[in-house]
Amino acid sequence: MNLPVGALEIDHVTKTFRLYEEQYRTLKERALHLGRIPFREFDAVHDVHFEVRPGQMVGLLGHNGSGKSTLLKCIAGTMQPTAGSIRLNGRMAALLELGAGFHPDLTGRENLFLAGSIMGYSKRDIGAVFDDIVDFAELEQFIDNQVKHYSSGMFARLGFALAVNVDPEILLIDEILAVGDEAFQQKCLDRFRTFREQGVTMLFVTHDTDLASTICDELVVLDHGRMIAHGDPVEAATIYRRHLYGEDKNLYVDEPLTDAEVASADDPASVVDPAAPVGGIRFNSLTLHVNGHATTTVRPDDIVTFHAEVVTTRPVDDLVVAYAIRDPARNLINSSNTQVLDVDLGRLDGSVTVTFTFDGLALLNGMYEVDLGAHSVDGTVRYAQVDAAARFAIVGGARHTGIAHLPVRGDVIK
Amino acid sequence: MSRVRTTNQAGRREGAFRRCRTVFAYRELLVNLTRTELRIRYKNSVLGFLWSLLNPVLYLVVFSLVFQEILRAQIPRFAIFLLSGLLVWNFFSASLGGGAGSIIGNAPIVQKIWFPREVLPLASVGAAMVHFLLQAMVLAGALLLFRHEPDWAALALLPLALLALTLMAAAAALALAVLNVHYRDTQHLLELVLMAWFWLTPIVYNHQLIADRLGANDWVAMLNPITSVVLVFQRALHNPPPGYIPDVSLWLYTRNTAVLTAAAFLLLAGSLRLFGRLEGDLAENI
Repeated sequence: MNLPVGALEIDHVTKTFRLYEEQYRTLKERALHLGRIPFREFDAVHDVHFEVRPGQMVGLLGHNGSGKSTLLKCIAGTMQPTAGSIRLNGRMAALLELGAGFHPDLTGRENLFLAGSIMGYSKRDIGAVFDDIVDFAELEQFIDNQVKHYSSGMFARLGFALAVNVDPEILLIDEILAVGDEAFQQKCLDRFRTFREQGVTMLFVTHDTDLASTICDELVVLDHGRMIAHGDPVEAATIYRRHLYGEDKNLYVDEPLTDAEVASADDPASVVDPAAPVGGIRFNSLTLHVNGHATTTVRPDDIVTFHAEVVTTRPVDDLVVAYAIRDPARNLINSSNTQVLDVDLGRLDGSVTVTFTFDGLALLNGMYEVDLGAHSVDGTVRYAQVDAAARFAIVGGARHTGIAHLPVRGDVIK
Repeated sequence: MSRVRTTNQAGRREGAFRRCRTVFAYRELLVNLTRTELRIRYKNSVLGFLWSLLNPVLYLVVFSLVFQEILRAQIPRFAIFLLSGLLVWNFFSASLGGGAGSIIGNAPIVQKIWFPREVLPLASVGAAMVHFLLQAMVLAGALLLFRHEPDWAALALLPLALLALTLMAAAAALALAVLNVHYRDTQHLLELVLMAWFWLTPIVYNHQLIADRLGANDWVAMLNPITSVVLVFQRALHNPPPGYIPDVSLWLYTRNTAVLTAAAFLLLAGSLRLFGRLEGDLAENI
């Protein structure tokens, strides 16, 4: 079987741990308890099966102890699965822990070469990107100091800079975005976006459902070692949330949810307007496109198009489609609709895609969500509404504070 | 750098040859880890590498004092005799001691990053090798100081003896490193075994004393593989008058060393196999 470069295959992987009541590590203890060491078997990962295609960014979601990190360790090769196998093709960099492989007594420079060679890169490989690494980590002044004198942030930055500058084809990331200040986190997100454009495969472990559903192409949700969802980020995140908050403890599904279930996303209270008995219209999907590609990370100066797919099961000729961009606190940032924008939808029957194109989203770095609504021209009938139908992140914006990214210059007049 | 990689249970049964090839691909890591181990040991010490030289010099002074002046050992040029054997022993025991703790000592990277784990104990052997070379300089200095002439013909045998010694040290370091993860007794036991082993090896006394006692059964003493190596070093460097080490032809030494080298290769292959069987669970047992 040939595996394309950048592909990763998790083939029915199970990892069983033996939980010993007591750890008998010495010969005496082992001799005394020969063959009757009490233990329980426990599947940290149970029959997990999915594939990551080259260039995909897949998020791994799950509560504490769901097996995410164990699975990642198996992929990284530090653990072997008890059953099943993992196949991958490509240079892999594993960000299981920033700065793993650094020795406190060595300088930053020495550590880059040491940790680089642990990851399998030659002196020449590291030498070629050395300046980029130091530059990215913003540690020019300290690179010849012993890393034990670094702050934890500096340490993490150096580790991250190394992992992302060595030109990986597959990148494993374990909750590392929790480190560093906000500016550095933005830089990380920015770098992931660049990787994405370069077609780097990424597998990304996180607790942050919003972030995951925003930046990933697909999500895998684990619960007690079992895969309970795999696929569309919004759907999977919904399942995860529902599961996390205990609304449905027996929700083990392998198939994607139906549209109706998608619509009943996050917050069941705000789904479909209860005062809108008029059915027959629903939103199938909302995606953001930049340069013709679907994406969830956007730079402020990108030309962004929202694609909203509307499905009507009966002819409608007075439809207005509206969007609303909100911040995570649900404050309205901007809203408009096809009526205001002078778009005549005409008579609709079947499926149609309505687009809204922005010549730049002048917003500050952060997460945003988009609501969709459909109502009649006279505003008396609400056909459908989906809150947070899509989420996106603004990255690479200026360091302003507030809500808008206004084009501003500073100057002095004497 | 791994291109296509499959991780599953079958990985445990990879042959010794494939393992060697993977280790060879990571040779730069081996060099880096060796260098790190050396650098860390003497970091922040004023004398630095001089400590490696001071150790044999001090041994030399103390043992010469005790054995030559107090116990009246009848070995001419005792200092050179002692150093020839001690050189071999220090390399071997440092390899085993360092190797045994190498995986546990590097637990953080073993749990986080994949690389051929064999590299860790082998780096301990590498560091021991560097110390060996430094201490060999002390011996060379002693030879010059005492204007003592080595046995030039036997010197040619040293590289082969050193190869056998290195292979044995590597085999033992690999096995100990991985065993120590599963049985923490290993390193404590090792200390005792090394102590006994040192005195069972003719380093501070001459082999002939043992050979005379054993008489026709003197082959028993040769079961200690380090003895063979030590004898080659003593023969070549100490170059004693007859009666201190088995006074046999150089050809016999050559044959012994060749047999030992072949055995060391087999030992290493077995050790790599054992390593492969046990390394799968390293990250969780560490």
